[in-house]
Amino acid sequence: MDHARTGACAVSSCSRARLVAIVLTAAVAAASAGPTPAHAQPTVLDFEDLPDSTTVTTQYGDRGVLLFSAFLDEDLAARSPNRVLRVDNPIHEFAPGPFVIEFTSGQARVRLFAGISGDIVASDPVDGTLRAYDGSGGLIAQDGPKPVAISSFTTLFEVATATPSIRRLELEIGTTAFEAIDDFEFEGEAPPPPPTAAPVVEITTPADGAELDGSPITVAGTVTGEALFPTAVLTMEVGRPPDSTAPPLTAAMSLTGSGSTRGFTLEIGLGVGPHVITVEAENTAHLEGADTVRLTNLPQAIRQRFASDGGAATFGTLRYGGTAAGCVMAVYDLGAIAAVGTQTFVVRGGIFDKWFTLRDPGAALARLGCPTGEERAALGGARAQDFTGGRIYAGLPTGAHFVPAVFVNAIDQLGGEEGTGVPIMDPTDSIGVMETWLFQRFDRPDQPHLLPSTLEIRGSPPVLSVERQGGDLKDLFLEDSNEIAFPRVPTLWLQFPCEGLLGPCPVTPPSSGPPIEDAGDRFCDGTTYPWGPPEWQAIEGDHVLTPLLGIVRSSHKAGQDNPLTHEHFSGPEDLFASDWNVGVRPLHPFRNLVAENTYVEVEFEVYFANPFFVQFDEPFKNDLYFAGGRLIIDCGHTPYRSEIHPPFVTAHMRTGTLFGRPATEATIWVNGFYTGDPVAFDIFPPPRPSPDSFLTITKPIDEHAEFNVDSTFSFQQDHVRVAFSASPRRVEVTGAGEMKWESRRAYTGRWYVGWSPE
Amino acid sequence: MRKSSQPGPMGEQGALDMARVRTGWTRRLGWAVAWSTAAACASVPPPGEVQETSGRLTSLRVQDLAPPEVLFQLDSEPDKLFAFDLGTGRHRAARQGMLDLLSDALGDDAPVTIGYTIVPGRPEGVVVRASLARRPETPDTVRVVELPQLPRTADDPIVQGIRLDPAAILAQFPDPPPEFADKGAHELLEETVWTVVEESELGPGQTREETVSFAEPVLLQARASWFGSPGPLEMAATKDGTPLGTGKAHLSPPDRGTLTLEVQVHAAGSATVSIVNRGSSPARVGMVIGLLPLSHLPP
Repeated sequence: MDHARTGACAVSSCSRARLVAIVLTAAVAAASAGPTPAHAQPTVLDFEDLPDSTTVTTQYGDRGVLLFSAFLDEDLAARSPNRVLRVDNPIHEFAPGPFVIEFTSGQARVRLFAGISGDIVASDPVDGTLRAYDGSGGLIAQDGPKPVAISSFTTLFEVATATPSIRRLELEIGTTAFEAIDDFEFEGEAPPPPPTAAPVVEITTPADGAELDGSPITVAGTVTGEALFPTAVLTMEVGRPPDSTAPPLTAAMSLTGSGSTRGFTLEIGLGVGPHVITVEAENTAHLEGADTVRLTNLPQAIRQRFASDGGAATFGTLRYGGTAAGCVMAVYDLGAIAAVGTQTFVVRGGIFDKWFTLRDPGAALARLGCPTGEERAALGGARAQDFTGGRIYAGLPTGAHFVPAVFVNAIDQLGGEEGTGVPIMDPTDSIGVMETWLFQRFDRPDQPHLLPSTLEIRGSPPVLSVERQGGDLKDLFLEDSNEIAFPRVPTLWLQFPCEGLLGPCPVTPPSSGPPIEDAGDRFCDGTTYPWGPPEWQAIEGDHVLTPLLGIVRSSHKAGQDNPLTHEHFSGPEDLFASDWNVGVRPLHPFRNLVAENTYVEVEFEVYFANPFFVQFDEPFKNDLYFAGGRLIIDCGHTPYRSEIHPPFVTAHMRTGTLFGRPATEATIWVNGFYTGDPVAFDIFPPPRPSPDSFLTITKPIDEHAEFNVDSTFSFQQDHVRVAFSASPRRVEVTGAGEMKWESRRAYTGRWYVGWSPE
Repeated sequence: MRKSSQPGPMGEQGALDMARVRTGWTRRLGWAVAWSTAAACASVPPPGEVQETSGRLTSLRVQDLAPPEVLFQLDSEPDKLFAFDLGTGRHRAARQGMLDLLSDALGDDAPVTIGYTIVPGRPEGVVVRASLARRPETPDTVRVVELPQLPRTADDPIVQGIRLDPAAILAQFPDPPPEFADKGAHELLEETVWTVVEESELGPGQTREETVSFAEPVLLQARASWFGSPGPLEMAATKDGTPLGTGKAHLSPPDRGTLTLEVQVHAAGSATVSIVNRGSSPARVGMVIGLLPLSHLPP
């Protein structure tokens, strides 16, 4: 009668509710429960004869007692005096109850002392009942319900029948307690003689060495022998990472049939990779038999890729497998193969080694997930491979590093590896006051004079910053694509809001609105100076400051100028050079400032800038240049070009050093054309060198740099915004479009914006 | 937005842009004169000599002077007295913020950091690292340093309107690269015949005339620039005694201006451009006259 353990279930998942329900459906045949004198010498089990922490099944089979994974354990309240027998190991989450004991021969009297272990929160006694059943499952005796004392084994339960017909006991205490007993005593018929041979187990399916592709499978077979214990145990060991602490899967299977040949069958789900399945059975003499089969479960595509790429010589031995969304991955000693849809990808070498280290402890797959492509060549002779969670580079001077997906996306959207570089470190962070949620640096091996680039997510709300000296280099004026960039080129920052502290951060390459259309007709009356329009026609207004930010293409004295529209000139009399011309390629979003031109000239009479140039310097090719001034169309030429003519405020910015550390050097000029209207621009530092670096601004003392101009600045987390204002002043403008410079208003100074170490 | 002398966004820093440090209590009187002298001369030490010190305030006093003077001492520098005045006008708010910061530091017994230099040979000095940092328990997130800049912007003669020699200035700069040599002017510049009248002085009431001849109808363009006088000056053009037009004056206060004239002359001959100084002070005047044949006028 093994109705209390029908079917198979993982030991840890058996529910008390299910077993109780089974018990309640059993036929109840009430019988007198009064104690009866023993017919034979009683047997007493005090549980002191087995080691502590023994799982007990048939160890007492020679005395006619069968147990179902009971747990022999020490207990300070034991009577015997150290050990008791519990219904199950208390480390399991749920008590399986009731506590079932079967006899291999009929008993007439049974007594035991009951107690409780497990999650006991009440101090009051809990009611318990001992029920006795005959060989047909009929209830023939009962003791209780009655209170069971907590934390002691003083409550005696006893049942007896007139004839030795008790074949099964069920002790139930409360609904959640782990029942325990001590000094178990019974008397009745002697047990049959125990078998002398161990049972023979044979797994008939799956076959040993099977190569499968799919799950679940059915495990079936037979157990042959005398006096078989009604339950066999299946254990499945799945290949796992070496640091995995996951236990093997264990399931109890009820043997089917009767007699000396019984059967078992169980449907079981497989993982990916190698499996070892063992079925163990025992008899009442506690003799055990077992059979083991080994199988491999892999997608056929992985098997084919394994074979085509060199097999074991290339990959070594299959160790384990894993799955992720849309991906199955087999991990070998020397590499891994992933099946993604209809494709397979191989991960090997330094990339595999790095990938393997990026696993959480015991996890099958790295945090980067499955590959999404094959390994490829990267900058500087490195190798790279993309994964769902990022990219791994190997063969770098600093070893192998990974790049999280949020940075990979930014790199790919903003000029690729050539524009940003390859990593020189793994991502890190500084999540304290610095609010650096994710931080990583990159190097462009073919640009040895440039500082490493930095990608980071900072702040609240989080913002992704892409910090690259020279940007992606495409906006610089290099003589050819292989030119080593000038080491003082400025750092260009791009920033994008993020949806979380670690992304995603949607990256949209910057863009500009449409250029100025029909400039000749709209601003120059369809002709050229001097036949109608002024030489320079303001677009927004003579005294409207239009900001421009771009890269300096050229910076030089003009070749010739119109003496009628310039206050100072010199040189050959037919040239009248006067101006300083700064050719600027606007950065986005300022490319809408062009008309029929690509570069926007910023022009002013060099006479007015002379002391500024002498004290500091003039803009250089490849400087980052801010110019705020009058946006005009030059009506003296066709095609019609836009210019900032003149600028009211300029700043040329490049990478320099201060106190031995890189800093953006911004040289600021607010001049006599300035209207006094508020104007601001940003000074960004070089790429941040570490997640704990903090911004350092070095600037002139205000009184030394200002003259009738007020300057202020504010911190924008990663850069500085400099703002100027002054009392309103509108300089005169001649009919030819020349703005008249006025004295007694200026700001000249050089700022340094850099980083200090943490 | 803030002036550099205001406390930082974290409340952790302030700037001390005009503070003074002096050794010894006994020399407190008279510092203002010494400071003014030091600040006005060019002997401010280079940035490398900036000294930094940190400590907790042991005293903080405000003297009822005009402007009020703030004096404090640090436990790390017991023989020094640090001082700054609360200033006036736009500096007042910033320095009041600095005083507030020091008051907080004293109340919280928090360490402060300042940077300063001692002017060699003088007991008084200038704090050139214009930061006053109260080091917090958490790391700094920003730091501001101020340095002196000499010469000052106010010393720029162009900014002050002082006349320099344009030719000398322009000669300092190299010619443009060849690819830009013919860039900058309008496309008919080289079709224009130019007459340059050298700069000379024109006294009050005086007139200067320049006559140019042309063999075909022209666009007559003239420009005169003056300096040294607020003006006004006037410009007129005549042909054979008949007025052609008058120039327009554009003033660049306080003592500069420009006259421009542009008129089409539809017959060959000569024209006279005259400039008269209507002001009460002499002016230095230069002029350029251009003649662009009307044959270039687009149809």
